[in-house]
Amino acid sequence: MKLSARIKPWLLLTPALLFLLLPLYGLWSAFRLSVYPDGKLTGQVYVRLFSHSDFLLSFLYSLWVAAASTFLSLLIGWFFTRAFVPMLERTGGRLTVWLPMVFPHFVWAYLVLLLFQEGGLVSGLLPGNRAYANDPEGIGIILTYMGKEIPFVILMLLPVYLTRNRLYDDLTETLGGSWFSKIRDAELPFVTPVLIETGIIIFAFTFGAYEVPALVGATFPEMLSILTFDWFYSGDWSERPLAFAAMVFLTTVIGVISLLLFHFINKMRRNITEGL
Amino acid sequence: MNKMIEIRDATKYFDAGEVLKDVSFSVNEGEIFSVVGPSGGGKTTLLRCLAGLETFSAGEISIDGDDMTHKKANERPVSLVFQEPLLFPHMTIRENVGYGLKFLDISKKEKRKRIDDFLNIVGLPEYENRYPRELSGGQKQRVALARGLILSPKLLLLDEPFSSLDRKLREEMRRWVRRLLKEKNITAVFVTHDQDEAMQVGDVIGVFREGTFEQIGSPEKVYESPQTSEVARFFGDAWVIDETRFIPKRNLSIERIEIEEKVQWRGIIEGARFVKGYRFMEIFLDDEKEHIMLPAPDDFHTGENVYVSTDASNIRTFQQNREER
Repeated sequence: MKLSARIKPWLLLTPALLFLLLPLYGLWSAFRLSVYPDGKLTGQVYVRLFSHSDFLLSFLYSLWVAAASTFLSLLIGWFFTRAFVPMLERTGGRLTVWLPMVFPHFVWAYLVLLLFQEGGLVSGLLPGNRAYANDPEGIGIILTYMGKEIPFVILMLLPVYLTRNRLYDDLTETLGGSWFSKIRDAELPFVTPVLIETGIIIFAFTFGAYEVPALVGATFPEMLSILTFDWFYSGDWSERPLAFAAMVFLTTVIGVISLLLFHFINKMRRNITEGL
Repeated sequence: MNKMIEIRDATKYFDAGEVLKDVSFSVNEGEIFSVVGPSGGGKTTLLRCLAGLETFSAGEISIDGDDMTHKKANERPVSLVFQEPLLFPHMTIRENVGYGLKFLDISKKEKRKRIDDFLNIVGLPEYENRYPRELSGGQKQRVALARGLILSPKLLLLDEPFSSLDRKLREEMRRWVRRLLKEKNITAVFVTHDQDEAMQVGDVIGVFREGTFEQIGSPEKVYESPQTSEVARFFGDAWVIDETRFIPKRNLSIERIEIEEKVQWRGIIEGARFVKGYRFMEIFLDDEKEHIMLPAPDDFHTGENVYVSTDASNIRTFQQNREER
């Protein structure tokens, strides 16, 4: 039987859509519980949330940790990829990048803890014997994420660098451009869509993940995920709607940022793929 | 006439070996020099060395009297148009055409004027705000040419710029580019592997093979009087009898019978071919064990035994051509 062109894509998408139902149901439940805390519709929970000093501090702290982890991972990953493309083409080089990907985040966090906690191997070598794990600046969390995400950035960028037309470099040079023009005009435009896409993934993950801040984070300030977890499991039932409201807010922030950036890179990608 | 570019004893080595071997030539101002030869012969390396993207291992290059041997690509008054148009896909056509002007110390007004002029020259003023993805292959290559010419280079290098276009468009572009370069009095080195293209575009032709020029001369001279068997074979319109002798194909005819006064080679017609409205026969020569394609009247048919004939006076030697130089 021949399926109509309109029905066929939807049928093919059914498994993915069914899978999406689960998180969507979770999000919907969280939203419902945050606006119906006592069985009637109210925005009171959100008013309480946004006036809660712990929440605001956690939100800004999470933003700092996620933004710093994302930015540094992208920057170092990008530098590393462009500097070592020939090496990364070989199996040995690729394996070196793959290896850190295999470790779970939790294991990587343990490594950071062992190396950077008070009396740790690296901390002992640093001036003032300063600890960078469980620190209030979030350096331990950022280091953990960098250790895991830099290889991820490299693996995302590597195919772009391997297939990039290097004649654009020559072209820029013959038209009078410097090394900087080559990076700006012949390299970055081709890399940027993947760089942004990778950045969205890293940001979304680091902004809301629980396990790493739980292990190498400070007692204060807390990442948003830790705070909401505490609210959810604390003995005080009145704080549970706050946890739901925070979860809805977090998802909305990530969702809106992702949608805006995806819209931006889609146009960019279209010009690049169809304009060559 | 003023020599715009002069190359002296240029050599280039890569790890794999010598790619350019003692190459020397000059191109006069406003002249188009076609470099033609089989693929893999070093043409593109020569062009990259002229552009400054590679350096010669030995030898010298001067442009308009100035020594350029050690100058980088972005310091040479040279523009290079590549095989692919290589337009920046994220920039509009206007931005693409004016790209090189960013690096020149000229006013915004002058930049605007130059871009407008060149958009008009390449016939694409209405496309100025479009992106490369909205242009056809021929239009893209015209934009690439405008982007190179807008810098008023002393030397324009063209690396098989029409190879990605279809045949009809390619022919149009050849005429258009030649007319444009002549109008602007641009000195150009045009690299191609296509003999027709080299003859149509160039004022002077250099047959380049295995890292060196086999012969340099006017299109007529190279075509009529090849100096080596390789040149004769590459241009394809002469039948090379052996390494010292050849016959221009127009002096060969097909006969059914043996004629005593003529020099003849026995062969069999293997098939008919049609080229640009003319009928050709593909003949396999028994003793020479090679194929030759000659025009033939309609009454010759596949499978017939024939003689390829000529007068003895038509047999020429490469030595003769070298002496006539």
